[in-house]
Amino acid sequence: MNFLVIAANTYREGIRKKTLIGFLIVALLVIGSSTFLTVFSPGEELKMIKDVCLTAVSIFGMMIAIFTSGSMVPTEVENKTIYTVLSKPLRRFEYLLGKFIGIQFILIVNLVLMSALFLVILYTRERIVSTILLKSIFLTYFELMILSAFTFAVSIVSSSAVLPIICGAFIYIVGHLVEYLKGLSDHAVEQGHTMLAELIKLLYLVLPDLSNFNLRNQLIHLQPNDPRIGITMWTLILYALANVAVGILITYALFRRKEV
Amino acid sequence: MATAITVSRRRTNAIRFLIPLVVLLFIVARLQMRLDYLSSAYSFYGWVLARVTETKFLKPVVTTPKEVTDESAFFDEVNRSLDTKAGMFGKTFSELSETQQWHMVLVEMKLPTRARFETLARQGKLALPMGAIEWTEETIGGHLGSLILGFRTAVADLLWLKVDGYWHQGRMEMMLPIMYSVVRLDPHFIDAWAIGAWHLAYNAPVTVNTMEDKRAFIDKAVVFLQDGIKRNPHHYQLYFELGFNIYYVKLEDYKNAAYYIEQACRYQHPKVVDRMLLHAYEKGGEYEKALDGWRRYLADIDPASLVAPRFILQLQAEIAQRDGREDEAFRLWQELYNRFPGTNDQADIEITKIKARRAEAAGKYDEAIALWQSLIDKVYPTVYDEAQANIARLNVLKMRGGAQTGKG
Repeated sequence: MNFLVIAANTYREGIRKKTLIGFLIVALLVIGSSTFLTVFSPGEELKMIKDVCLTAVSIFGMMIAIFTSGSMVPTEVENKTIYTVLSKPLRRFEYLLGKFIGIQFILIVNLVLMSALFLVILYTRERIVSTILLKSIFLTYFELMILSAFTFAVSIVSSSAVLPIICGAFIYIVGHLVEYLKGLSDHAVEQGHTMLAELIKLLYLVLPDLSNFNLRNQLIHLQPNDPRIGITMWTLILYALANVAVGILITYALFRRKEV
Repeated sequence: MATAITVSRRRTNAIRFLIPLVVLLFIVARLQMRLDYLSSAYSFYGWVLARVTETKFLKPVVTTPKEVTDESAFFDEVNRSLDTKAGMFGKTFSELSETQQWHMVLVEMKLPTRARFETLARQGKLALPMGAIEWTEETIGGHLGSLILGFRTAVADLLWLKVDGYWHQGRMEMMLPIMYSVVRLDPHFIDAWAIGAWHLAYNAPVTVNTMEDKRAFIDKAVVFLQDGIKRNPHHYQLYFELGFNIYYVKLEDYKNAAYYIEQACRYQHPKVVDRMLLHAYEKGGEYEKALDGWRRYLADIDPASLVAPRFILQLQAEIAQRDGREDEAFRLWQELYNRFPGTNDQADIEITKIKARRAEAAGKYDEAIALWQSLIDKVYPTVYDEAQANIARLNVLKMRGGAQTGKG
């Protein structure tokens, strides 16, 4: 159970970081001020609030996920605390798992705080707590979980926090553009390049496609009984967990033989 | 020897990582394929619903001869298959619940239907509702969804603010294209469809001069709303907008108004929709239907309604008047006027008109003229021309001393 100790420490250390607190304050300000935006669009207040708040939760959640996952291990290497920790009877996998779980705690706490304010604002207007909104935020978390797993993998091979943070941003952008590979594969088939088409399709299938999670934004405007919600949500959660497992496995493979 | 052992150990380690990695990537690929399938199925579901809605519940703006296209042939085939499957429940596909429809589409979405649907969609041969499937749209707007990292709805909101800004500046030419982009980015933005159609039907025609151009904008509003309905077939509001704002108010086509408001009533809706449907029946001359409707409204929907008893009485009077039972009509109009004072101009008008006709029949032209004049004095715009004409006619009769009866 050593990884839980590491996770608790990671959480304590991460939650005190000024940059994270800064992100959180700005996010809360944006969410809080979403009600003012409705002045410009009478009649669509609720839709505007939902869209702005959900976008803010996603964007700031993404920044928090990239920042925490990308900086956690490089900072320990820089401060040399990692040497002390790894010299203890602790397996490297436990260390990694603990770090990753700690990062998830930080992410969850930040998402919960942002979502709580969002829900309070909506409650003051609608007088109901929307379960479909909670589902949407739940999906946002799983998207960010994939992002943090792959950013974490990059951070293992980096000695400074800058590279993984930049890479994290690229992973997010590229993750949303992966679906273009599908069109590219079809195009290659039309051109007669069967082998190339298969290769592109393989890449499309194995790379994390974050655009699948766009459902989170559509969800809040669908009817609660929209038939696709249940079935697609479960598949998306499994998809996220499988991708996270890939990310952690790659992280371990890189970290296992790393000389620290 | 030591080097060989190291190389062998590295290989073993590599295999130990590669095997679970390949297994995990295989699982990821399978799940991605499942998500693709669900995404395609949902697009197919949207297309089927849009086509079913179009063929069963929408009336085309311009009637063109039916020709067999790849899409219509494919739809007929799919529709037949879905109706056969729905036959197990003793219903047609369009009569099933949303969840049943979705599950039926999932069953239908097996190969080769899926392959054919995707091929036709890619070839641009399917009239897909705006914003339905990104990869089938050739415009920049269609691909914008991916480029903005999934924040389509938020971008649609910001563009909508822009539409509002242009509207207040009176820049219709800038506003309309952005309005189309908004609904393409967020096809479930009901208010954008509704307000967009209102702009097209009411504000855009002001910018052109000829009647043809004005009518073209109204037709665009109808098509725009029909697109919105195809994308949101289970929402009452767009049917209601089409029926009430366009056909009832703008075009005064009460038959079509009643038809589309009836469609709105098939889904969860506020009481005002029921009331407007009954008004559309009344305006369209379907008094009995309206009367039955108001009775049902009072019994089932809003027993505390203050307006329903008034409209019931009014419709009874209108039916009596239409059937030539003038005494009964007069009694009913008077009852209406006395029971609901100050709320029923029509009762006052009809009572006065009947009195005027009776005075004229009795040869009391001055009294009849005074009664028609009283309607003008009370500033009832709907009866102004009729009153003027009758006064003129009665003056002629008075001068001739003739005994012709007046027209009511």
